[in-house]
Amino acid sequence: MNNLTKLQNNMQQFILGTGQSGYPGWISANGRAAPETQLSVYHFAYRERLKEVLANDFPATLNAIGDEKFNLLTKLYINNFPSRYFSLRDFGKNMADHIADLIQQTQPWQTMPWLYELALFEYSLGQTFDSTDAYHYTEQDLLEHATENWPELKFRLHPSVQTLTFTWNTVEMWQTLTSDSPSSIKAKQETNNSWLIWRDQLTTRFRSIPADEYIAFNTLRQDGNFTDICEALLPVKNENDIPLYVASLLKSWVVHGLISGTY
Amino acid sequence: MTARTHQDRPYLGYGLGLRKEHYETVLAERPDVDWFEIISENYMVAGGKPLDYLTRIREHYPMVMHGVSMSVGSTEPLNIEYLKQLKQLIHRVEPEWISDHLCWTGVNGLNLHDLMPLPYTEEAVQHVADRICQVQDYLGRQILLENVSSYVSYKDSCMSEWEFLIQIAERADCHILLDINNIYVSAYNHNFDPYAYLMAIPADRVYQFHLAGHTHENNLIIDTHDHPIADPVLDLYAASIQHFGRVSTMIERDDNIPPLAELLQELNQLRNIAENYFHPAIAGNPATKIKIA
Repeated sequence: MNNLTKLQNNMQQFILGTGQSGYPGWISANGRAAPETQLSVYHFAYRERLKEVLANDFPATLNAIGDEKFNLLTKLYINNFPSRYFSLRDFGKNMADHIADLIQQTQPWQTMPWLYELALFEYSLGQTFDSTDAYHYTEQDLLEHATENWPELKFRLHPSVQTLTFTWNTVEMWQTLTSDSPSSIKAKQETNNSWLIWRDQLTTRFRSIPADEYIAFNTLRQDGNFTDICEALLPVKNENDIPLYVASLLKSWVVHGLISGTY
Repeated sequence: MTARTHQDRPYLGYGLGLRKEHYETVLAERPDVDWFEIISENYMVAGGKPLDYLTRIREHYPMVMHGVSMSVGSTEPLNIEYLKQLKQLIHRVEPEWISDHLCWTGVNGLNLHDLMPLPYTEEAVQHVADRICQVQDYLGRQILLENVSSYVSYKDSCMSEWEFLIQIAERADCHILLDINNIYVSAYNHNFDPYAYLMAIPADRVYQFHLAGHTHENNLIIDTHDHPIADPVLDLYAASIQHFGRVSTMIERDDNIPPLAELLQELNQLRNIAENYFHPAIAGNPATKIKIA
């Protein structure tokens, strides 16, 4: 190992470590500040910078658990998941999974089983915000397909579209926590709690998705054509109502910017 | 169109770092800023608002790109995926030039997201110069290399910071983005004369100046970019103009970001310092503001 490689490894190890190992021999004492102070600037700045990034990316999580627990959460995260990304945008990628692990293992996290979903929702909103641009299909585009082609027609989702299914009142809690005057939250378990997140032009949107619409949407996402979507709904809807219902869903998805094309 | 100075250096005038807090104001008011510098990594994304604002603002202003993650001083291989995305952004923005820092940001696949200083050694000079050559070959253009603020000095160092910077720039044949505030910060922290640094830099290599605010902490100065430019840095800027002539100049503000109007006032202060030197009779008169043609 050459000198430069060795120095960079030593310096990085110091920054990632506890910062309490005294000052190493490769630091010069010639500067204005003591060698310990020189190094502590980098050690401290590393943690503060990453903590600030996480606070910006997970504001509802921060508001939900308060500064003290958030400091503990981010300290553990920064130690366990050092950044492997050239952009800080991606640093919080593992936060929800990190919280899920903590919930399984230790106090005080075991008393907050809903925190995983809250962090997951926040991260997903961030991903949608700057996801790939694509054409927003229009009603006019839809009308240009001949009626006889509709049964075989498949639809391409806008790249920003995500679906999440929660077991808690996650979105309600997020809205409370990120309002102009955040108030205390009450976690409640909920069933059939699926949500769509997408970007309509430049605006990030989300809404709940009813169970039968979720079946239709999932069939479309799994390469199902119009006929497949109709068939998937047979167990939950009157057969005669299905084609019109699916057509109205498609129109709504198009109008709200969820579809980028057909194939 | 980019003007050229008497030294045939491209000259953009007086610019600001483009920050999201000012997007709407910039589009609505088209402020009197000659150019904007963007942080490259903020726009190395797939789509959405950041790229939309970038495209709309680029229609009205010249831009340069400034990166923080090239890690040109690291001892691990260059990140080709990073360079690929950087090249795509260059294609989109068509900047006047691109820059990054004379530093390393991590090893062993990690990113410390900080501008880590290098030891000033012959080994490091050759290593960094070789890598800048690789980057310039890949991008098909020369880059600007910026001096960083530093708080630590290494026992291995065997030359001054400015000798280190000059040797790398000469060997790699790259240009220099001279951060006047960083010179002041490092000079204070490491007890050297900032004016000696300034006077040693070859004028023909310098394409851009950065100016920013800093903070005193624990017997050190930290390059925080969260205050107006300090008076001693303005003095150093005035000396820089005398030494280098007209160089594209901008303010970096990354924290405690004020309304755009406040930064425009600060930018005018820089403009007046420069114009007072070049054209003392008419400096400070907005009606006669000079632009190099």
